[in-house]
Amino acid sequence: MLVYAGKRILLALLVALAVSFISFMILNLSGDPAAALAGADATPEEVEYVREKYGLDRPLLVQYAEWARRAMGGDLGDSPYFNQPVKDIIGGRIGVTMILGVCAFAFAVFLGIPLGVIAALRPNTWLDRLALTLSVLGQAMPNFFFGLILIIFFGVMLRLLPISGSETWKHFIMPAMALGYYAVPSLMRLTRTGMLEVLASDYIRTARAKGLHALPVLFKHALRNAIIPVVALAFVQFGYMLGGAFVIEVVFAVRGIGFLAVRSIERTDLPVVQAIVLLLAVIYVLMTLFADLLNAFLDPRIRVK
Amino acid sequence: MTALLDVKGLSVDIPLSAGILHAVRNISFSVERGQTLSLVGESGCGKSLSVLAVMNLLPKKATWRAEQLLFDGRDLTSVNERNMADIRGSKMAMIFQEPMTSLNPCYTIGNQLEEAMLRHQKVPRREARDRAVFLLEKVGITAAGSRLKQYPHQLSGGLRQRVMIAMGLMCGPPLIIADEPTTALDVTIQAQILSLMASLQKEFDMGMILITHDLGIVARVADRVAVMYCGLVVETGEAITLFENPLHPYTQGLLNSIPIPGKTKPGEHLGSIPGMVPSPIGEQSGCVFRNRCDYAFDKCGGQLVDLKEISPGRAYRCLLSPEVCAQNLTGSQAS
Amino acid sequence: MNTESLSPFKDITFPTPGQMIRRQMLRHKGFMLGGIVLLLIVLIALLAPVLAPHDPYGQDLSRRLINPIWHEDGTWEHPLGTDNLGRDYLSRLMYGARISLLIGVAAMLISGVIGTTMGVCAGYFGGRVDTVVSAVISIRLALPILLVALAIVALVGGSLEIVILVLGLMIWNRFALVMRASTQQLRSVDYVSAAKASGCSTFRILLTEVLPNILNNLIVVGTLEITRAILIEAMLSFLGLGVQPPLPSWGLMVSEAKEFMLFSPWMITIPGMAIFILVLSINLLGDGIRDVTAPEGRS
Repeated sequence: MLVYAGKRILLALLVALAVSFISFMILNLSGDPAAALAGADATPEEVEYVREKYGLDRPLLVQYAEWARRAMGGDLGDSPYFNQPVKDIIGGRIGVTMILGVCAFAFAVFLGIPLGVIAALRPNTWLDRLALTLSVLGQAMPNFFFGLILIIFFGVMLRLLPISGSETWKHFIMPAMALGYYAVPSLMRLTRTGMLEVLASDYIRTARAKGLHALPVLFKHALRNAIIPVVALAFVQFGYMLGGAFVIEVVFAVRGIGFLAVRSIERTDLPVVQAIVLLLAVIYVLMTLFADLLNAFLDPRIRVK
Repeated sequence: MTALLDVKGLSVDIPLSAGILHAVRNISFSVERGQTLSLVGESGCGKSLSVLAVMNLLPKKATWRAEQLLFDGRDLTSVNERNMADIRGSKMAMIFQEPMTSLNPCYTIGNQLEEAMLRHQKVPRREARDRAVFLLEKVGITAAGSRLKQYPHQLSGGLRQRVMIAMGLMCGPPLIIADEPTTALDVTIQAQILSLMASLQKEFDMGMILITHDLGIVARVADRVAVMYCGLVVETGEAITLFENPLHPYTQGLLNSIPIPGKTKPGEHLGSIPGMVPSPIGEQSGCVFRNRCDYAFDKCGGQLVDLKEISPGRAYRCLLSPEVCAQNLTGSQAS
Repeated sequence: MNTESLSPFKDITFPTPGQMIRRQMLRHKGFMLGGIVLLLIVLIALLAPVLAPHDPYGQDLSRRLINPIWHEDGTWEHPLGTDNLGRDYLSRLMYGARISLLIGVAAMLISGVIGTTMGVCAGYFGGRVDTVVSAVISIRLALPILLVALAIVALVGGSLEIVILVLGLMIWNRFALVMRASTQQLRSVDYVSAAKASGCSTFRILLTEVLPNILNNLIVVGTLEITRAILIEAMLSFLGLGVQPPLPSWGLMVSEAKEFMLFSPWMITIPGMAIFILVLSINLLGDGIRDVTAPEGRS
């Protein structure tokens, strides 16, 4: 079991490394980092000088190898814009994004799963159709637009919530909703399908034949089985959320790593962008790995051989 | 002796897009304590739905009604769901056909066994566990103590069915309903499970309803038999009488199509009933068996045929007289 | 003994599969609603040069920020008002439909070709091909494509073609996964084995036996990817790193209207709702197709 987990972690890190390689190539081939560093009104000689000074004239593979070697030791380079280690810059902002991500995750899970259970208990009734309709509507809504609508409605018209920044807990409510809503339809549908399937299964019939009441049948027997793939999906969705959080951070001026990533792209601050891409890739693979392990843990058929 | 379970006029309907499926039509049967009633018939004849109706476990779309449904003196047609849930498992237990999927894969055997008892009796967990061990040993499972911690997927089909039987007995119910308990098992295991059930029934003096399509099983364990076809009971009687002198053409056809040790000669042709079971959707006209019956005549298409009782507990549903039926039997046996 | 005429029950007739699908399609409210709305949008997009009352790029600074018709000072000359450069909103909205549809379909086609080829090969050949393709898919899934797309467009420069290309090269993962799974299921199916046994070349088998049977999956994923491409482009353009002004991309229109959001909320609402309605109609259509052609069907 330990060997299995170890192999999976190794594979996951390899994938993250491959991602960093690809992003490195893409970023350095799309633009000219030397020109960006030198500035907009630098002369060609100044650009060449910068290129030599920072070793940007070496072959890309060599540059990457150097970056990767340092990265594995924890050194993610320095940001030319901030003139500080990338690690520090990211470290100062990642907390905010994590809070936003967790809140969005909680919102998605505590809305999507109960909706799915209710829909499964009353299939083809108005409740079910309402849930499915909301799910279809949610998937068509662009996230930045939804965020702006929330701002207008709750922030301006009702004046209930602050519309930008990240100082207090209230600042996270709307951004969390704007980030989390997109995961609700898939979680709801998976819960609903899973519950419908489980509720029609033989062991539920056995439970009822034993005289168990509706609630224990629902929670102890049905949900326990149906929830297994949903939990796994939820963590994968969390990985996606972090990857797409930057739009929400920009709309709500929440200064997390997503906001930082967008600004750094605009400033051609490649070391920061490269580091954030690596970070997101690592989080994503760890989330999928965690989802797999959780799956195995929750399902005795996988756990106990 | 008053019957343990006395069912009269039970009907089950299932609405389909093509019309209403009359899956069970006005059937009656009864079981006594210490006795085994077998409901026999092909797949789809309504035998499973009948007992599910008795336990009020039908799927949501189905509806049922009965003139009378007396269990241990209690009228089950007017009982609410809460009280019915109290009866299920403690007074009336059911064992299903699919041992592979009838247990929850996420909980241990012990948990599910104990749950069957703890639901109905306020006893400490230790007592439920001891009872579980006792019953597991009774059903022939060795190392019962360690089995409790195992999960269903770690057990074979035969073992799982034994667990199901033990689970049904946890509260010592007076009535056990077994819906094709051995159909999904190997032939060798079938015999073991059947003897097990027969001996447990004697030991705990329970009434048992055994549903099956296999006449061999009926011959082995049943005291009384009710033959069902297309939602109707076409013949009832003591098992011995039914096997020696089957009256209804369908029963005769069934018996003709299985080899009977001692009677069937080697090399002899086994019969078969031509045609297919019709779908009981919509209104019925005439005898339900007439399109497959060797002895059908014009009157069979006329009106619905009633169940004729020729002696207490012995009835059949055919326009032909008992004597003619007996003649048909010897005729077909001679050919 | 004629069993049919003696049936004790009246005859029931069941409809044929073809009849059932057609009947289900027309009865499926989502399919019909989505289909009709989408058709309308496509027609508007195609006929925009004819239908649009004004030039979508025509600036008129004397007519800035006119409110739409439902305000008291609205005018029928500009039913949806004008933006901050005096350009007619209705015309820009119509031309914006062309951009969204073009990007959606083009990106879907590119990613569809890439992903389907990868998925079918992986599913059909298995073995090392499958391992390699699966590894590539895993790496692609771990890549935060939104950020990378943003970066590429920022560094290379934004334009319609770049956006289509970047999206097409990024969003093929679902195609690959679904096609791989579908093909794997088919690999051992009877008619494929029969074709193999009769000596058909691999390519021919893929084309004539495998492809038609994964077609309905392909269509469903295709509609999903069109909407994905539309939503991503809208987001990139909103951030200023997608389609560049003065093109009337709906996402760009929302972004340009953001500063006027508090006083003239209609300016962001109109293009935002346009994106929402377009994506919704495509999703409804796709869901309808899936519901009707799935082997299980609805209950």
